[in-house]
Amino acid sequence: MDFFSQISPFLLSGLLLGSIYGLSATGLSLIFGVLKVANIAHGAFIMLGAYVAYFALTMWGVVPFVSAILALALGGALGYLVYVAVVKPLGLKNELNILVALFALFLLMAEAARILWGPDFVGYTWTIGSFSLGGLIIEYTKLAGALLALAIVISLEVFLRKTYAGRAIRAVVQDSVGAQVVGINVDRVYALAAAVGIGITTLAGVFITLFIPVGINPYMGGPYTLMGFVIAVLGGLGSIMGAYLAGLVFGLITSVGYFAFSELGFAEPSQMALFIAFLMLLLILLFKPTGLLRI
Amino acid sequence: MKPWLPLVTYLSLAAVAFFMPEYSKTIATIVFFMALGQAVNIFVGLTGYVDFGYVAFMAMGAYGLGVVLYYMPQLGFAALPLGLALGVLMSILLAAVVGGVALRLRGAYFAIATIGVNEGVKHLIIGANIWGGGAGLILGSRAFEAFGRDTALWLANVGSAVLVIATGFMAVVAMYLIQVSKAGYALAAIRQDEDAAKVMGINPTKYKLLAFMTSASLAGLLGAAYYPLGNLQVFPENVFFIEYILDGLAVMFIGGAGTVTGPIVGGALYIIVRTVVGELLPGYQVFVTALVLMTTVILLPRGIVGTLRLHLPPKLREWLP
Repeated sequence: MDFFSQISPFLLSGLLLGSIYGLSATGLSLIFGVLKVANIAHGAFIMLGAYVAYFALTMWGVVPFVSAILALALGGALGYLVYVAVVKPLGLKNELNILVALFALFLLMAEAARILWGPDFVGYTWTIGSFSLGGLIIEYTKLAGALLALAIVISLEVFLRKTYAGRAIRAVVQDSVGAQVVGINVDRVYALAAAVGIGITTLAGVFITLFIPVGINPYMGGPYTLMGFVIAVLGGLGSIMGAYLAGLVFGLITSVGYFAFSELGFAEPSQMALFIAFLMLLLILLFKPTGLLRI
Repeated sequence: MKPWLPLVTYLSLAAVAFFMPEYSKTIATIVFFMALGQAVNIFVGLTGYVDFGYVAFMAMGAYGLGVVLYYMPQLGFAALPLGLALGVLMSILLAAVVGGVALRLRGAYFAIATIGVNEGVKHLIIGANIWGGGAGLILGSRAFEAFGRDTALWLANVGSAVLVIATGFMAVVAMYLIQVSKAGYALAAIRQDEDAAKVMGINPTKYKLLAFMTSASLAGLLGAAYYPLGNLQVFPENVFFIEYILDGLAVMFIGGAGTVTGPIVGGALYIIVRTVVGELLPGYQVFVTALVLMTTVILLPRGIVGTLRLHLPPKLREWLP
């Protein structure tokens, strides 16, 4: 019982944060599924979303759940631009050049943020209270963020299953040549997937700030790129629900890992959590590259 | 293929650095980018794969020499070859582990697998507090103890420059040897169509791993020359700084991926751009580098030498490998 009451806050916070992680990885997974492009610039859009949340609240008093819509629109527009300006001219076959260009984009955005907004860590405080559940203190903002993230992932899944555009996206995921043969404008599907994927990534950046109140920084994106890929690969690249569930799993693993390392006391727990993430990525890619949900 | 042009370039730079020590720091800075481009080129240019965790190899080289100097300064001059050997060995080992696992994967999957390598190793060193942990290794007094004050300063100045140039020289030799051997043909086949190469009896993982480990050992030497030898310190935040792979890719792509002379041309141009930007817009160097890399990759994917080679008559092309 003592052990349980000790670990349960970590489990819960792992699940709440995992929900946001899952949301952020769905964008990555969607883009990989459709374009077969690994969005190395992923973390930069998380960073952008975090700054949107910060400026919206501190300058206009707009709360994160509202500025998330702004982030979605901004990210969507940028995603479309990335497709038109980077991916399309290079051609999807030119994998090396696309990866390098996206990597350059990541650093370009981080540097632009540093030049525009300064290199320091910034943050905001926004609380609407908390409630206690069996001795655990849960902030409403975090709970609402986690639930909204789930709602967004479900709506994305519904969009992919029920609408024409969503079905076109799924058709291209399965077989892009076949999709073209039956009259789907594959080029537009690519652009749409890039816009939706990066839009959702930027939106997830807003939600992440609910959990890291003072961790907003131009170079914060690096670890999120790594974590995003760990989760997306764990869930099976291309699978939306898989990415979300893997996000929950990943949140639990890092949270329990943090707990274990702080109990053992031989290492700095947050640093080791990232090392575990990296090890997981290598092991999954080696043994189960199709992800958890596929056999 | 005649490798004389790049070899003579490096040799003359080495002569200047050795006989005019007042210029050796400048030359070391210039050649550092050329040699980095050469080392990156041996893997990225020859295989068409990209490793975003590449700086981890430089870090391993830096830590190899750093650890030997820090913990065993009583070895005297033997610490230098021993430290360099340890650094190169650790780079090769890391390449063998990462490559052995990840080079089985294709293109994008390999790139994904490497994203975390530098962050992962860095967080292991800081988190588990090994080799000085987050505080790093400060080597000034240890180097004085091992080599004597004057020699240590000479090594930091001229020695590191010569080592950087020697690394560039060795990279050209390695590139030449790979390209004229069976491995070069195998890698060319793999780059064009990995499945077809496999069917023809080529083991892709083996040749990719060969290029990867060669490239990693050179990166390790560069890391050792730059941080513990040149700057007498090894800080994890510096040696794992992701910017260096950006530099390496920029130099390689400006010059021409897969060409031998490309990184020399690219490095020379790159250092000019960096210096000008540093003078006019201090603090914008990385921003401009990222912008230059992105535009080069999109608009001039073959790079300068690669494009030039297309238009040269075959006789001259031989001389511009």
